[in-house]
Amino acid sequence: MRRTWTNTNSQYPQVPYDLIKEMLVALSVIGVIVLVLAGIFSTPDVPALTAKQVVQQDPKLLIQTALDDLSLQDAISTYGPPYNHTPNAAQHLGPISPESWAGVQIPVNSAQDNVIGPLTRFLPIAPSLEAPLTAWNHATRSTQIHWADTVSNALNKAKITNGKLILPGNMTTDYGPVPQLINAYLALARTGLLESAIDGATGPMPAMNRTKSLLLFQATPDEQYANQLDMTGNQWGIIKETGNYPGAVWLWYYTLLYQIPPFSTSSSADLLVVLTVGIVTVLLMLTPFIPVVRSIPRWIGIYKLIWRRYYREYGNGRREKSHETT
Amino acid sequence: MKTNLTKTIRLWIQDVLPMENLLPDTMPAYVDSYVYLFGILTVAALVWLIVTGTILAVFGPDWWHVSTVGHFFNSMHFWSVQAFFFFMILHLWAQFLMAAWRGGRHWTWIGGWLLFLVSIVAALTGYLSQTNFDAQWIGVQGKDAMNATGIDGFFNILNFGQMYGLHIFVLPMAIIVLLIVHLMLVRMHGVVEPFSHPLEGDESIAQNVDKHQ
Amino acid sequence: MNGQLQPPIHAGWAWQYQWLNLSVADMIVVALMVIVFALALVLPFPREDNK
Repeated sequence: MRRTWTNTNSQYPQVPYDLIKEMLVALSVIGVIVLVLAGIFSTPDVPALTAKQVVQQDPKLLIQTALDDLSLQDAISTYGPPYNHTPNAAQHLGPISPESWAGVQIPVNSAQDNVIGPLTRFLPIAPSLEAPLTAWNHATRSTQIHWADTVSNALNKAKITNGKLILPGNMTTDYGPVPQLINAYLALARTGLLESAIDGATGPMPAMNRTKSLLLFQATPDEQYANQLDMTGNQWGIIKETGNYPGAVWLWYYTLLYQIPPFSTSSSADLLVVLTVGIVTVLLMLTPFIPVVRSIPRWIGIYKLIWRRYYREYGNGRREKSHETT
Repeated sequence: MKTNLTKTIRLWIQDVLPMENLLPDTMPAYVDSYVYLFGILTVAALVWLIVTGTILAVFGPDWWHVSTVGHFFNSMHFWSVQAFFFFMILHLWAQFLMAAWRGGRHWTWIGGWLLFLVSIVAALTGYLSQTNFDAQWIGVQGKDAMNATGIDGFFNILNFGQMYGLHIFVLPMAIIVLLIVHLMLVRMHGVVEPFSHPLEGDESIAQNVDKHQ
Repeated sequence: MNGQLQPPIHAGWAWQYQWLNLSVADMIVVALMVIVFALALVLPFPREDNK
């Protein structure tokens, strides 16, 4: 050890130490731990929720999702930035609203992106869709909403027969083009290609950016599925892993805030939590410069335990190297 | 005479971090507790993360769903993450309790926090790169927090390609660079000195410790 | 909604208990952290020169 202007370690009594050996031992220890844990516990791998699953297990849920999208009553349509311009939807604390400042970066029109667009893309192989799509596209906004609402209201009296939606009354006159669109939508979902049809609109590689198809099921369907996997109960899913696997325990101080007032009751909970955590983190980072906080370790006194043998053998101060052996 | 940048940098390195301080074969006698090992155990977990992550990256993001061997490497990767954060947090506790920022070591402390924060983002992008329901659920749940801060338009956690690229290249590189700086700073300053003895007073060491606080 | 969507596979049973937003598995991890830290403080560190 040599003394430099930053390093005075050499003024203290020295003991032999092998850093490289320490590294190799640490690598072996962690390697064994990881191999054993991986061998015993493995990892969970539950497949993503797909439209194909939803249409097979609960076709009415997919229909309701599509109807909400068509009438723009889904959660994303009223979300505000970054998806759309819904007034007063962005989270804010007084004048602080980074969500509004960032603006609409990922524009989403639920009716167009999730339902009408994908069906239009299949027009070449399903020419019978031309009439209902044209009828829909030429209708006024209020007529479209009326159609979707009428189907929505009749949905609990409806039946699903051979994968097709059967509504009470006259299917061709009472509901506009919606029944035909919905039945085509169910068929598209059954093929397993609905997600690709949705995401294919924004780029050449649908599987690389699944933003829009993920937003399709972000409310009820995902929640039901997550509930079956013991992953719900919190606003923030990352902390909880499925089954009995540990989650992101290191985010605990962050997720905990969501559970306590004023965070738990705020309509801008996310912003409030993020800002609080940000401020606390900066303060922790700056501990060396904050007078009272930086003295806490001395008051706690755990250091006496860590350095107990040193204090016992060497007392307090620096000794010359001749004092090295005790 | 012209300045020779190469020579200037060489002399500076020799001045602040001579070879015998970079790889010393002795330690001050107060380096005498298992709590000093949490840092190196965190680095070891990072090495295992990089090894298993490289294997997973070589075979592609869908490999581990269809191959038993792939699933095993995924499991190793998962448990390495747990070990990584486990020991990083213990390291943080230990450094706090020793007030390891003393003696001009504040950049080491701040750098450690930066490593923790970048690691959290790296773990988040990893969760999002799993191409299974975990990724789907974490994405749709986490988007609200990202949106509230206004960054989701640029850091879109529902965009698998973006998250995967960040996870397997950008963030690991950031962690490695920050870690190298962190380790160099540790070796440059040496191991933080003990507080002056709680019972004996020693003015010389107390002054040396306190004047940098 | 009427039905509940069923995942094709599950990750096994799970303890239905949580406290302060921690699952039982998370609590085990935290407990292990505390135990490991306490042991690291208390156990004497082996030293080569003490032979």
